[in-house]
Amino acid sequence: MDLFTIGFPIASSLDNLIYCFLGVFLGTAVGVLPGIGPLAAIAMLLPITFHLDPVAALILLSGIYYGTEYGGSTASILLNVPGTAANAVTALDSYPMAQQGRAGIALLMTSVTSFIGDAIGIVTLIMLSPLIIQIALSFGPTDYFALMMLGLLATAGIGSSEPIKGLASVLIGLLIGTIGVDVNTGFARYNFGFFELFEGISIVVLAIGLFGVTEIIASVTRSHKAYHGKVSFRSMIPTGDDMRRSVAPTLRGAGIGSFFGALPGAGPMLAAFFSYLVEKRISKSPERFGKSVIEGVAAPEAANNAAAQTAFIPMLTMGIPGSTTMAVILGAMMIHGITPGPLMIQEHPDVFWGLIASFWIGNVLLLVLNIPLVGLWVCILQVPYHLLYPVIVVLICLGVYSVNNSVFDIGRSAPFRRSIPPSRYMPGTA
Amino acid sequence: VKPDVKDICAGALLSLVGLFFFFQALDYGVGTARRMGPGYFPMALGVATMVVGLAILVPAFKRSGEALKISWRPIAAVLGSILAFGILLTWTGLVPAVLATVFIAAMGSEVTRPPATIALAVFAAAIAWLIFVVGLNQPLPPFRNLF
Repeated sequence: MDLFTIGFPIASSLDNLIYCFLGVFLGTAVGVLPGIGPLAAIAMLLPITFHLDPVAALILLSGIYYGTEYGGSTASILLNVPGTAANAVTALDSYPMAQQGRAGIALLMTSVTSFIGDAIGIVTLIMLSPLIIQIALSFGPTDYFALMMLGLLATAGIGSSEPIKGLASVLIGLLIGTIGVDVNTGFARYNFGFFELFEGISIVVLAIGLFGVTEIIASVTRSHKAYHGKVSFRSMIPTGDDMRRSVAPTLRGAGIGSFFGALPGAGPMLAAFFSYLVEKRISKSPERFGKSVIEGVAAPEAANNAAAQTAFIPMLTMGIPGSTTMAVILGAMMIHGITPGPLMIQEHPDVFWGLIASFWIGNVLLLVLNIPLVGLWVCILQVPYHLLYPVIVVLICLGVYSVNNSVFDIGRSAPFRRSIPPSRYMPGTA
Repeated sequence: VKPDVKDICAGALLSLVGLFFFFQALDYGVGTARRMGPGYFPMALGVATMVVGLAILVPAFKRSGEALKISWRPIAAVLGSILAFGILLTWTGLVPAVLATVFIAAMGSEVTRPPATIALAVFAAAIAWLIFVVGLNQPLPPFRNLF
């Protein structure tokens, strides 16, 4: 088992442990706070990771990514405002629970089911990756093209009530992708004389502009309630009935999450939503859903965490990012000279297994952070958003600037979206 | 409210973007399907975008939708603060840029009070200086062209 011989020794070195802790800590904080998502946090920290070695950088960035899925439920439970989009479904039943004085139990159960979801997601990742790599090794350009088409169309079609709008966003992404030098002819397109646009629009700038800045603007208009209250440890002890009723939904949620996470264009949000619907469908008393049923809290939290872990499968094995956040993490790998794809596990086993081992360590740390230290996060929720967002804007600007010390990039982070041209990250093409 | 103004605007905007990319691509040399020029792919995308834009635009006239409500204040404040940061960073240095960014961004919210904003701006400038200049050694002078 390379996980134990290669992975754990690397992930448990003191430096990497510190970066792992930093990642999951920041991830939880970002998840707890509504109005700032994992993407903005990762993009802000990206320039910091340039100074680290590749494994440490990835451990830090990934920690933020899966850490947000833990923190995200806290605001759902206490404020009825989801910390991240993937936790929106959790609020349906956990907020009524909090109103009945069962906030502590909801907080404990979401942390525990998150952990179980993550664990099942990581096991899926370990089992499936070698199989997919076997298949992906025989892929030629045609296969990759087909896979890209599937990814783009799945983005448009899955989980959207209006596929035409999903298609519109895919097209805008492709259009923005044509900006810069054409890889086949060397002709500079849509640069309007700006030297800075020759290399196209970077994914970090685009992600921050389209998701980071817009999220802030949208959150300013929403009125943010701050939470004033305390959660005691005694109130967190679930009843035997709570635990018994959570077992099956947690496992089902983790299964559904593992599946949706690995699909490009699906991801944690859809996984959580779908697993909630499944629980409601198979329940003997579906009318109780939305009125504080523990099943409706356990299933989506297990699902979104499992999906956050299996989202690494297409990225690590084929070099295809399933979501924008994954695309930014992929960008970070490229900056460090590591090309994700079927050859990565052979060429950089230290990175591959070190990262996966860090997932285990990170999740144990998250369990500690979210159960004994829950009071800290409740405190963070008491900071009003209008005092928070101007600082976030400053950090975002500095983060984008530091990526390549260019003021031009800051100006461009006004709203845009892009898909990376395939040749940038796919082995065997162009 | 009838018609669905939101989707009409979205569809129209999308079609215009497609149209722009289409015409621009014609200048780049389209070539043929066998020997594609640099403009071939963007041209095809431009056409597809126009079609999708119209497909969103046209049906929207026949149904009702949410009223279009744009909160200009936070949009102007946040985008303005980013612009100010970009201009001031190379002109007057890191500290003035951060202070201006916080002041302008804070104007987007109706509940912010001046004393809190001043404290916040100083705090943000200190954090930015500590992380990016002291911690990461970024070439960002705290002040420039001021003294």
